Amino acid sequence: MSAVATKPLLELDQVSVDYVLADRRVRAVDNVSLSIAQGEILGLAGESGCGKSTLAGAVLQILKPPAEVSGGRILFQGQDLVAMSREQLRRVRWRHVSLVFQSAMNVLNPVMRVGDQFVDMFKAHDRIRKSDALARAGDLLELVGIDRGRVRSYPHELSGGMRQRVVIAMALALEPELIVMDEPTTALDVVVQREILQELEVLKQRLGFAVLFITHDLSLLVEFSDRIAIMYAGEIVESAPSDVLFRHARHPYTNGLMSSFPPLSGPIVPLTGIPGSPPDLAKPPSGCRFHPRCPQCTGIDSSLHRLQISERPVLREIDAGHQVACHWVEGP
Amino acid sequence: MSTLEVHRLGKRFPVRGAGLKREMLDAVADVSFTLSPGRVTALVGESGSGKSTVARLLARLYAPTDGTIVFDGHDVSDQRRRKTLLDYRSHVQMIFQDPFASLNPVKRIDYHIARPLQIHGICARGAVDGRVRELLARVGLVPPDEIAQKYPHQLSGGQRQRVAIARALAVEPSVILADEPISMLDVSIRIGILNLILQLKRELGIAFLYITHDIASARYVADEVLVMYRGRIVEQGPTDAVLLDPLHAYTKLLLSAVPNPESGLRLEPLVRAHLADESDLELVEARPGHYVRRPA
Repeated sequence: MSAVATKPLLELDQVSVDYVLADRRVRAVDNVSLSIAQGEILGLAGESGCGKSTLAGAVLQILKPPAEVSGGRILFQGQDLVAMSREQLRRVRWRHVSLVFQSAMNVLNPVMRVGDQFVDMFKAHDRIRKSDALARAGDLLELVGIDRGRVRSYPHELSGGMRQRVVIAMALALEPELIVMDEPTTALDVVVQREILQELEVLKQRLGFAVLFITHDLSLLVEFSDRIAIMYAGEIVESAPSDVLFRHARHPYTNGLMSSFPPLSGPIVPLTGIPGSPPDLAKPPSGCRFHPRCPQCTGIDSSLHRLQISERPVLREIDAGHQVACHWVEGP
Repeated sequence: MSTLEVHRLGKRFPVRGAGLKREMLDAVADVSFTLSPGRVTALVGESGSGKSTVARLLARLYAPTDGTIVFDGHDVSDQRRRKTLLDYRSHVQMIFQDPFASLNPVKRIDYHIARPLQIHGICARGAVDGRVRELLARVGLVPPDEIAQKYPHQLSGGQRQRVAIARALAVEPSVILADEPISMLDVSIRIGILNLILQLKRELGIAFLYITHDIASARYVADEVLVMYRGRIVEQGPTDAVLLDPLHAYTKLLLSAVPNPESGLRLEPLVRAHLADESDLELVEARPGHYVRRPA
């Protein structure tokens, strides 16, 4: 058993996902390797369109055509999800890996009571009496801080924050080892977001699940996750333990994300964010994909600049557990 | 440039029942402030605090049940005539939260910006195209000729929000009401929109009402902050006075909810302050220019 425990819970090994169009393939996730240990919170941050939600879809194997996993392995407890049959996947999904989407409003059925939606979910996975399933639903609602009487409510009778809690309770219902959360708090306001994150942290301590937490808001991850990976234009450009990433981020893109938050204390200095917009993945820039927006790519003709515009940087370990893909960090 | 003064504004909505049994909800009550040229006033609070209702009252999408809205010396709060309202709206414009929903998906960008020019008769027919391009360039959408011909779905969220701002600018307004203009955008492009607001306030002297639940962004753009809770303003004053030295428990709660890597790397417990029903409390001047709701 101990040999199993040291293995990562989830391991992405050089995973690529393509969108297959009539005349070409667009690579949305390019050669991504990541791993999540048991009970770990891994934050994945990047802008819209960087491929982070596609990656989440790949982990759950819920991508629909034209998207397809075109390479690599997704190992969950050592078993490759990409190679599994539909029946095998059905057994893994929700019981072992569950998912929380961004817009809880769209996940719940508006014409069904919350409790009945739990009953449906339990019945899809277990033989269970309706009364038992409803009782269990009540327990789960209490777990996420909602009155158990709410099993009788319809989704529209709940606030956005409560609906998001309901969806989280559903994701926890079968006690999965891994929960993939795709922007779970983005639609909520700060106070509710904070409350939900704190509840999640308490639940995680108690139930011991791992989380793949996907967001565009890096400031959230620094506090909340154990490790952070930064994704840009389909690839991981930097990954490190949270505190290392916060204090010693090396990739210019990570630094750009970090300097996109106005401070709450100290002097107010003009911020620039990151100029430009993410590249069109159908025609990614040559060389380093970040080079058109990179403050370190000055255009002055040098061996470094030639490298930046011609060769793609490789993700390399620069310190224990800290990986960066950047020519500038490596030096010419 | 004109100021917009709001005095003891209130809005009640019927929530259930009918006739005498009808229950009313005070969505907004006792809200007073002034929007002055070249200043950004931030209105912060959580969802349901009534901040969007304030914006809609000011845009006259709703009629207020109490109080007055004085623009340029005239009380516009009980104006019903279409022509007067149209005239008012050419001075007070609104930007909405969702740039994906606020643009017509089957119309090109130039259509969106030409519409207000035509409706309000701002410029001669022959001059519309040139003005549209000028406005696009003004909000940083370059090259304007190319952008003008695109459809909304061909632009990113940040670009779409810039289109919404250009559309608001078309009528040369003195006041812009921006309701959560950055909350749907990627973190990396939010700053660009905030910088654009600052630039427009500086260069055109526009008065902004910036509505947000993101208190850190309010600190970045605003000269003055109003904190709203359950339909009432609970604290109000110069930005740094309110945000660096808050007096009201609710302001403190909002501040503690902001992710702040500087304050240590672990989540700190958020204390849901026990906030009393404050409907009979008064806004009192605790320090010069800094008001807080407390027993008078």
